[in-house]
Amino acid sequence: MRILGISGSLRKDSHNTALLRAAAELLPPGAQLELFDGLRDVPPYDADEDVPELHAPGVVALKEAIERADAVLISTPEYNHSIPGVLKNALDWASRPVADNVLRGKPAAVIGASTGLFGAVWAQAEVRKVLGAIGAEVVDRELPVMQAHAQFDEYGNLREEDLRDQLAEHVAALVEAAAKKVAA
Amino acid sequence: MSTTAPSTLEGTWALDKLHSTASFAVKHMVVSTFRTSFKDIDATFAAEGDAIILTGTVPAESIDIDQPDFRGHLMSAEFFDVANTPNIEFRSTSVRRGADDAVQVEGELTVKGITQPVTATGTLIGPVADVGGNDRVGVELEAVVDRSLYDLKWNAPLPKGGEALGKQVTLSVHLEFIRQEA
Repeated sequence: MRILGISGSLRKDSHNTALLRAAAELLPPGAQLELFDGLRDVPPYDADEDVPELHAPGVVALKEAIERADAVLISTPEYNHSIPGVLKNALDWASRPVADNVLRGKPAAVIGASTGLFGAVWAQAEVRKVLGAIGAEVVDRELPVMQAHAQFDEYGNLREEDLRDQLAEHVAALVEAAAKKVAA
Repeated sequence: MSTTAPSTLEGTWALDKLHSTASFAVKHMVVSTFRTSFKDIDATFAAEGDAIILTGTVPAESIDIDQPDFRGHLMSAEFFDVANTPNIEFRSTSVRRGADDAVQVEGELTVKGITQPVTATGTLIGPVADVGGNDRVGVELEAVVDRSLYDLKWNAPLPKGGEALGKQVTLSVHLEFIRQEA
């Protein structure tokens, strides 16, 4: 089982990328997480360029990575109570063509971290909404990781056992949704 | 050499800042509780006859939160508005001692320039002589206040229902005072 992890932050030491790495360690046996590292290479969405022969390599890489995966796990920061533009832009590219986009019917879950008190809870809700609009099979759970700058130890592990348990349950729910899909 | 346990609170007492804390707790995300404290607190304790007066001052900017965005939000007018109202202040109007070290303190709490009556309960223990020969008294108090009464109204609806931040805030102080020379 392949899970594609997409971090909505481009920052080198991103808390959301760290959260995906922590999630990778907590996946049930038989599931692996591949971290998508090409978000920076996805150009601004332009319908004029949204024909296969004009797709930038970054767009092709994104769509292929989603297509290869059995499920998608997105970890989003929150900018002004909403989705970072770079992540929304990538989802917009992935959403085309509407009828058979790479996310349609794809199990997807959302987690998020912020340095404030609310763990990107509003951005997570918006990503779930957008994924639902695109046609993904969205796991209806949230995982707000607050004060993210203090949550990881020097090895990148989540310090709090409760939070590790919640993250493990979250990814298990995604893997379960993906397993049902694979079996169907 | 013998030491007699001091029995009176009479006199003025200074705060032992190293061994004192002022903190608060507020529900957030409906289910969990956020707690933090202030790094810089000052308080006075004075007793004359049966009357005890307790005062305290905390600069809001001494809140123990370093993350710049989080801190910036709390310092802004949506919360403490430190540019215009830097200090949180308390002054007792009545201190009543009950059985078993219990104490009830009524007073006026000023936050963001707004003063409201508040009642705190807890313990008042001492005086006791410490190893250095100083008389010490400990005051531990808790009060619940409605932050909206102090114009700390920021909130936001959560995606899955409920409000981001609770309205009731539990304030706690653990204060240790040392008797001052008369």
